[in-house]
Amino acid sequence: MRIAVASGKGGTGKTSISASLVLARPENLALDLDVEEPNLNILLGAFEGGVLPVTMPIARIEGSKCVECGKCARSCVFGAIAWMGAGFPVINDSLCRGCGLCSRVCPTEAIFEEDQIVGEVRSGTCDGIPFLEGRLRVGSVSTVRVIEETVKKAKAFNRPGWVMDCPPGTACPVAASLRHADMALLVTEPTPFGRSDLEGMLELTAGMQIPTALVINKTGIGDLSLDDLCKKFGVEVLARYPFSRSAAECGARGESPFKTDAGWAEITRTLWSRIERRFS
Amino acid sequence: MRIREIVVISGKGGTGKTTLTASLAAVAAERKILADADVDAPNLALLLHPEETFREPFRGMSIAEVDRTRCTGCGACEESCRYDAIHVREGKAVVDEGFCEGCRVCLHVCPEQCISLKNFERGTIRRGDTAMGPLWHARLNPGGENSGLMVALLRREARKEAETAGAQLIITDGPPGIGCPVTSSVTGADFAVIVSEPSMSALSDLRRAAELCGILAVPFGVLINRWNLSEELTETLKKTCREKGWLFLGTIPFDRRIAEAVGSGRIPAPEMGDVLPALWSTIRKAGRLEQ
Repeated sequence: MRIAVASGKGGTGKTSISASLVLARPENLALDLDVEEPNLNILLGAFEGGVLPVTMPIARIEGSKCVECGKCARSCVFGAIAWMGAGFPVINDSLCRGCGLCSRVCPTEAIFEEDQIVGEVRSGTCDGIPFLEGRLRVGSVSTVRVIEETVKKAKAFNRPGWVMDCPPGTACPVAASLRHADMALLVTEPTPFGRSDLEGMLELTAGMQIPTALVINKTGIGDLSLDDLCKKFGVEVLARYPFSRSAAECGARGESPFKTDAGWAEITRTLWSRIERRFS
Repeated sequence: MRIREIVVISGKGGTGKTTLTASLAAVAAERKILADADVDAPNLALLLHPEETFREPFRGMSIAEVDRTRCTGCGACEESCRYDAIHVREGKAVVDEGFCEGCRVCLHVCPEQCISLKNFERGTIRRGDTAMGPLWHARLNPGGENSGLMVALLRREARKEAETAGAQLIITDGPPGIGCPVTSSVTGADFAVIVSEPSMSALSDLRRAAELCGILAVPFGVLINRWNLSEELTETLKKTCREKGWLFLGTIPFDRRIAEAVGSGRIPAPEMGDVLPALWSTIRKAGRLEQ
């Protein structure tokens, strides 16, 4: 089973809970899809393996073939090709999305494409656990492209299940991760911010028709009820992790509380058995 | 008078961007405009309680739409799409709306010319009055694309109002991460406050956020929230700032009363005590706000 751990709000504990789920069932593949800020490796332990680049084609103009007609500039919806009505068009690399339309409309085949590195996939193990991580290159905005490449590599791993640590928010990077999931486990906290962002996530998973369940983390730092949201979207709370300063400190040092906190580990094992009973 | 725009980002989510933005808004005496650029998880309004004065649908870029009656299911569109956003299913091309970038390659290659562009609502942009000043905020529909474009529009509105209202300051609550909406929030801002916390994850994310500010040539400073959750890691973060030559702005302690104030929808400015005006004065100097 492929489980997507997502949240809407950042910092609710997606990565801590992803790491705990993997540590409790190490036969699963640990998959870090929070490619803008990948941190799952920090909690799982030393990474060993290889790094593969993720590339995206961007347009280039061969001056000797260009007839300065401007068709490429007029075709580009991203405004990545500047043309002043005469002379060579100029391509703005940071706006080019590599769609390939300009090279298709060019009458003289003067546009070719060059691969640009937009990120990398790290593939191997973390402390013996099969591990795969996407990592966006800083300055690139091709988040979804890196997620897609990481998932492609994950399929070759041949593992019975995946635990996917997803990006925060409710926009396209999360949707790109969720579309490969059999179920979504939404990690929230009982605060107004947590609740508001959870509602957006519940709308998203309902719209994508993905079976969904909740984990409430840091119970005790707030006491906001989420019962009405559970009822409205027909989802169940599968686990509640209490806020504990020692668990927070442990996570801050880069150690999973699953290894040091017996209560935390027990909640995680119960969570797994509920996931298996209700969703597999 | 030149308008200065300060943007609050973090890399890692949940470090306290929104709480800090609201608190800075409460302590800054300048005439100002506020903006929430975390358009897919907006929370600033939950602390500022705006009274809505304006609301407008947001239409992103147009995306592809297939005329199913004329589609022959040849697959030319699927083959040419770089975003994996169009697939032939049961003999007809189907657009995956969450992934279509609207580039028009499929329109170009379709032999039946049965693909066109359509535009639809992807979210809402709003303005409201608050005790701290006008707030521009937005919500992208779940799963939506074009968050970068939405942020750019939102910032433009905030700037326009600053110009007409004679405000000299814009404070923007940014999104987490380093991707499209963050780049769109930070580009062209005068100063970025990166809110970090003493954890290994936050340190890793801080490095990436700082690198992004460097690439975008936006000056920035680092603030450590909840510093007392690990004095040791706070020292590590401070040391990293020194080694990298990053400006260190100060710290905010972890205090249950701050969390409780936010939990009841209130700006925790009183709970932060003297820390807050001191921080604001440092940020003012670093962001070169005029007197």
